[in-house]
Amino acid sequence: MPTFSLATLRQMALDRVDNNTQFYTYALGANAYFDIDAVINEAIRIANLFTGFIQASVNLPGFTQATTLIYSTPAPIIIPVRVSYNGVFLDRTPVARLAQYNPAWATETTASYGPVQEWVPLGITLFALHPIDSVGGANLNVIGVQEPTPLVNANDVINLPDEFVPLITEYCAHRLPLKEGGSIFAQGAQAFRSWSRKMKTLSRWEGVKMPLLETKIRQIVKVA
Amino acid sequence: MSTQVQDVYNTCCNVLLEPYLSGVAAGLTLTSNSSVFLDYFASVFQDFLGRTRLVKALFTQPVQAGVVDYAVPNDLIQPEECFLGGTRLEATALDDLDTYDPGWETEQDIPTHWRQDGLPIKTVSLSPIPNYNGTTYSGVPTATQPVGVYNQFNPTDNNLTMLGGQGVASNTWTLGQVIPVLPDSFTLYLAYGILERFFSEDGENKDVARAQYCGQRYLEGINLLRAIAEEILEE
Repeated sequence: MPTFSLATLRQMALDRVDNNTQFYTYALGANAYFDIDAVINEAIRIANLFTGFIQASVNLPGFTQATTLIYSTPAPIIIPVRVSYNGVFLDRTPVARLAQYNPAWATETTASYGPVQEWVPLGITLFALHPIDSVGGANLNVIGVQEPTPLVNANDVINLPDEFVPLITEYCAHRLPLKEGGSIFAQGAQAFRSWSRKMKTLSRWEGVKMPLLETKIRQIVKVA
Repeated sequence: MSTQVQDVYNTCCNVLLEPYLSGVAAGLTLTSNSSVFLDYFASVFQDFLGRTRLVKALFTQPVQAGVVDYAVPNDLIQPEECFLGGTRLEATALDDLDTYDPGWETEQDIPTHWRQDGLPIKTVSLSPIPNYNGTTYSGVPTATQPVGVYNQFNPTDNNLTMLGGQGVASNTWTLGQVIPVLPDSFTLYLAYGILERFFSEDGENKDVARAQYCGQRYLEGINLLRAIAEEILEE
């Protein structure tokens, strides 16, 4: 997986907007490229939300606690996808289904019911274990999508899969001209369409619906 | 969570070609006190939380004998599931109760159902009428904040637990505030919702094409988070 520096990504993005450093860079404090850096980081975050390419495996701090039902998703994970208990994979069960078929789920413990078998997500920041660990001290590992580290300095680097580099640059190509508006912005519709289709293909979340926008932009600009 | 309201403000100012070097500055669109932006931010943030509900909260409050109606705290968007002592209550509606249990309004027993229709906003009602008192918690209830505990089931207390999207109790914002509830990656879509409003204004900012783009990008964020919720939470 190749490594890209912020300086490299900046230049690749500027190449898509005719190297217009007069309009597409804006200094804020010591950073002379504040706005283009913000768009690059935005592109990375969106790509990560769609594809989950930045993941982490985090052991729950403090291990499991005796008689504790609910745990918090450990930082820096923002979307948990897998939980294991002492190295054993746990099934994921929705709380409504578990509670419907097992009314006493919130009181059952490993002492009375058996080993921990399921993790029950309560949103993305909380989850429960079923049955409750009556002893505690077990290793709980959470794997999930991680918050990307923002690129701030020119020599900050990020590992990107090969197919993600054009995604980042195409995102910048249509997002940077947003502040121009008019036909210049509308001409970015091609880049937006390309980005949107690739993102839909690479998305790990089934059922995500992408906006149908580019034709509307062209129609509006043509009428104007 | 480290994204501030100021970061969303900077993004909007960059697109609107407004100055934003530090704090706020008077420009074409944003007044020197940025009140318009903050009003839009409050509206978009509540809308985004309400439509995505990927971050959830639990609120457990004491059950009282003879009391059927229970307030939902302001920072819980809408109950999606209710539990009594950890046991799931079946969601129902007035029509169903009238059809299948004509005497429901006077029955007293351990509640098995809950409903939200035919009630004031932010209220749930239990059926049958509770015939016992659950464990009490310390605190003084207010008109908008019942006494209870967050993110705990406490099943042995035999109290009412609501599970729903986490919201915020206050709708007042300052630029220096850290945006709560949402992870940083999710907050970037808030700017698009706000920009859609700016580009839809009847004034010098009006730009139909950019308003449509920003609106669709905002919708993209909502659709994405709903798709994540469907897969992870199986909603």
